[in-house]
Formats: sequence, structure tokens, C-alpha cells
Amino acid sequence: MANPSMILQPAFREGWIEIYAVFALSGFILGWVAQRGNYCFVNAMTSIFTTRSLERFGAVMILFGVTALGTGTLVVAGLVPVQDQYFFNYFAGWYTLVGSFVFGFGAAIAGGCNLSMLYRASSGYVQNWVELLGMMIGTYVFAVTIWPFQSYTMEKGILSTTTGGYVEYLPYLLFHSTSTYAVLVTSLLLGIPLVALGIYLEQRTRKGWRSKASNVNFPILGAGVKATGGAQTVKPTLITSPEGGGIKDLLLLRRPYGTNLSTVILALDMLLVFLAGAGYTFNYLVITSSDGGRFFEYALIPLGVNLFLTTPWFRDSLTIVDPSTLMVVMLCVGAFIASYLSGDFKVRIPKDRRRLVVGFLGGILVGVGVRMALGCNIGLMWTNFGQLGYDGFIFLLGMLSGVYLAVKVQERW
Amino acid sequence: MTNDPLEQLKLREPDERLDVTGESCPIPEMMTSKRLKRMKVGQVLEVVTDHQPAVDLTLPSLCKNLGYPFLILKEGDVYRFRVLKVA
Repeated sequence: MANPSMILQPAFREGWIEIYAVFALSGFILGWVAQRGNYCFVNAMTSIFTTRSLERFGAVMILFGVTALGTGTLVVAGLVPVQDQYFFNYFAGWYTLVGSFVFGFGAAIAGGCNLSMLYRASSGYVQNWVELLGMMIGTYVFAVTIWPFQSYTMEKGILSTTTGGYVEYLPYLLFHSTSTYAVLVTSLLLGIPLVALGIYLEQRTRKGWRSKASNVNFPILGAGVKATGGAQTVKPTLITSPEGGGIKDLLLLRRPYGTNLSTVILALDMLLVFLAGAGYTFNYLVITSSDGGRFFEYALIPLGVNLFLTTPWFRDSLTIVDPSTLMVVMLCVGAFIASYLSGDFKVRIPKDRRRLVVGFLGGILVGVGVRMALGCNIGLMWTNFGQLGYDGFIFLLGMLSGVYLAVKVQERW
Repeated sequence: MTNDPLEQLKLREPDERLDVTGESCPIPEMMTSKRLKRMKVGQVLEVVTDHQPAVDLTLPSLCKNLGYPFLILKEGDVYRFRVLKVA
């Protein structure tokens, strides 16, 4: 039997201008919604270990599940050719697990995953500027120290697959086929349990809140009292929940988006790119980490240092501005405008200046980790659920472990 | 002294303060959780933050999970998030 095709096939015959426009719009939406919804994968994981709260982690599971169901449906409906779903599946190996562990640890101590680092940097958080700088340095550290060894193991298949694509495509692994039937069954097998798990975790957490509120004979769910003005002269107003409010408040940016609303919009954003970018380029949401490395490369060019010519990894990666680079830039633009219009934008420096050093060191680990894993929590983990691959599960395990260690280390400081 | 937790949070001088201004999630939640673990039942912690999502989402979530009453005061750009540690 012939191997499945590894030639990209467009879903539409649009021009590159349309592709760039859609990627720009998609990046803008990603930055805007993530900022308004305070969407942070690291925070979703730290709260599991600090307070055993699974609400935000549940939302992430729903995000992955809806993405898998959505991309699967688009393929099954014949709107997106199947090879466009698996073409960008990466190699999986020891480095996926180790890299995601290093990434999770670094992101948790620095104060943000790749997504939250970018949208918070755009909202004025100096801590995340420093983390971003650290990530760029980390990319260089990885390129000169780890990449030569890692690429050798990838070539030789040492604890690694030697190719990605359909080889890591779950429909192919399960059914040895990339037929519509195989894709349909796999996306259902993957997506439905993830969505069900996410809803269960959210419900379980909220049930726990209600139970604890009744135990202390205190209406915790309505306990937030928000008062304005001086602390001594305030006239507090009881609010039902800090997240409460109507649609009007949402549209006027008076209150943040709820976690589930953000989840749905972000999943739809992923599907927009999956459809429009099919056959042209990496048709999933941003490759923030490698773009971070590329920005470091561009920054050094005026100084006469050209990493593209002298350094492994940079030599092997793209140096041109592609739709993904534009998407990262527009992510920052969307986040900046959202934070500015909502009155949230402000240059903020941590009171404890030592946190800047921690942010920088954490950023270096983020840079090393994402390059080892061949992607970050967006471009690899979330994306891979849309690709119906298995790297996302490996990354999730590694990242959870890294975040757990970071929480424990932080507790002992 | 009143037994009403909200009144206590409003009127009592906090026993401990944690200043996390300039920090973003997950740091305010992690530091608050860590500090609360070290405090005694009946004490009030005041977390000072300028990170809106922390007062909208993560710190209330932390308190709801622990079953601790909380109160939010706003002073200009800064929030004072007060938590009463209960049994």
C-alpha cells in the first residue's frame, strides 16, 4: 500500500495577500481574547498544585477537545485535505518530554507561558519583557549547546521518531489509514473525552466552592466585596461575583471575558487558521517560540552578527518574515489595544526587583525548553491536539511536571 | 469585635501584607497561597496588587477553593485584596 501523501494541498485558491490578512486577523483575535480572558496555560496548571483548583485546567481540556473535534470535522467534511492536518506533525522523542518539563518550570517561575508572556508584555508588564529577552538568550544557548546533540539523536532515531507527518498521525497509527472514517473516529475518540473531562473538572471545582462556602456558613460565591476610594472611607458594594456583569460590560471592556467564552473564541480562531492557511503554510496558531529566536537573530544583524550563517538551528530555521511572524506581531498589537482600551495598560515593574532576575532566568529556561520540545504550549501542545497527534500529550505531561516542581520550589523560597 | 467575616475584613488591620504589585499570574496566586499556609486561623492577609485579573479571577478562585472569605478594596490603580483565614 502506498504511503499517505506528504504534499500540501490548499483548501482554497486564495492569494498570499489573503493568507497574510487572515493570519494578521487571527493573531489580533488571539492577543485580544487572551488579554481580555487572562488566558494562561501556566496559571491553569499552577492552580492545580497550589489550591487543587481544576477550573481553568478544565477549560484548557475543553479547548483541546473542541480543537480536535473542529479540525477533524473540517477534514471529514472535505473542506481541508487530510495531509494538511498531519503535514506539520513534528518528530516526537525524549526532547519533547524533557523540553516541556524545562519549559513548564521556567514559565511558572518567570510568570507566564509563551502566550501570556507576549500579551502581558504588550500590556506593560516589565517582568514579561525580561522573560521575553531571557527566552531569546535561551534560544541561543540551546542552539550552541543542545541542538547539535539533539539533532544527532533525531537523525539516528535514538529515543526519537525519524520523521513526523502521518507517522505520528493518530488515525494512521490506530487504523493504518488516513481515510475519512479513520479521521472521524479518531477525532471523536480524542475530542469527546477531553471536552467531557474539562466540563467535569470545572463542575467539580465549582461544586467544591459551594460546599466550602456552606461549611463556613459564609456565602463565598457572593463574598467578593468591591469597594472604591480610600480604604478607610469606602462605601462597599456587595457584588455577586468578581466575574459578574452583562454583555454590555463585556463589549465595553468593563469586565474580562469568562474562561469558557475565551475558550470557545480561541478554538474558533484556531479553526479559522486551519482552514485558511491549509496548503500554504503552518496552518495552526502561532509559533511564538521560534519567532522569538528569530527576533534575536534580527536584532544582532545590525551589530554584524549573523547567526543564520554561523550557528546551528538558526542556520536550519527560516529567516524570512512569514505569516506566523506577522501573527505574533499582531498578537502583541491585539493585546496592546485591548489592554489600552480597557484601561489596563500600564508599565508595571515588580516591587521586588529580584523577581526581574528570576523572570530573566525563567525566560532562558523557557527558550531552551521550547526549542528542545520543538515548540511551545501553543505551537506544539495545543496545535498537536488539532493535528490529531500524540506530541501534545507528551508535552502536557512534561509541562505539568515542570510546573509542579516550580510550585514546590517557590513554596520553599 | 464583630463575628461577621466581612465586617472583620473591612475594619481590622491586616495581620500580614503581601505586596505583589507589578507581578502577573500565576505569581500573585502562588505567593498568596504560600503566605496563607504559614498564617494562623483567624488572621487577615492583605494582598496588594495592580494586576486586574488577579482580583477578577485568580485570587477569588483561590479563596473559594480554600473556603476563605475575602474583600476587595480599590485605591487608584492598586487593589487591596483581604483574606480571612478560617478553619
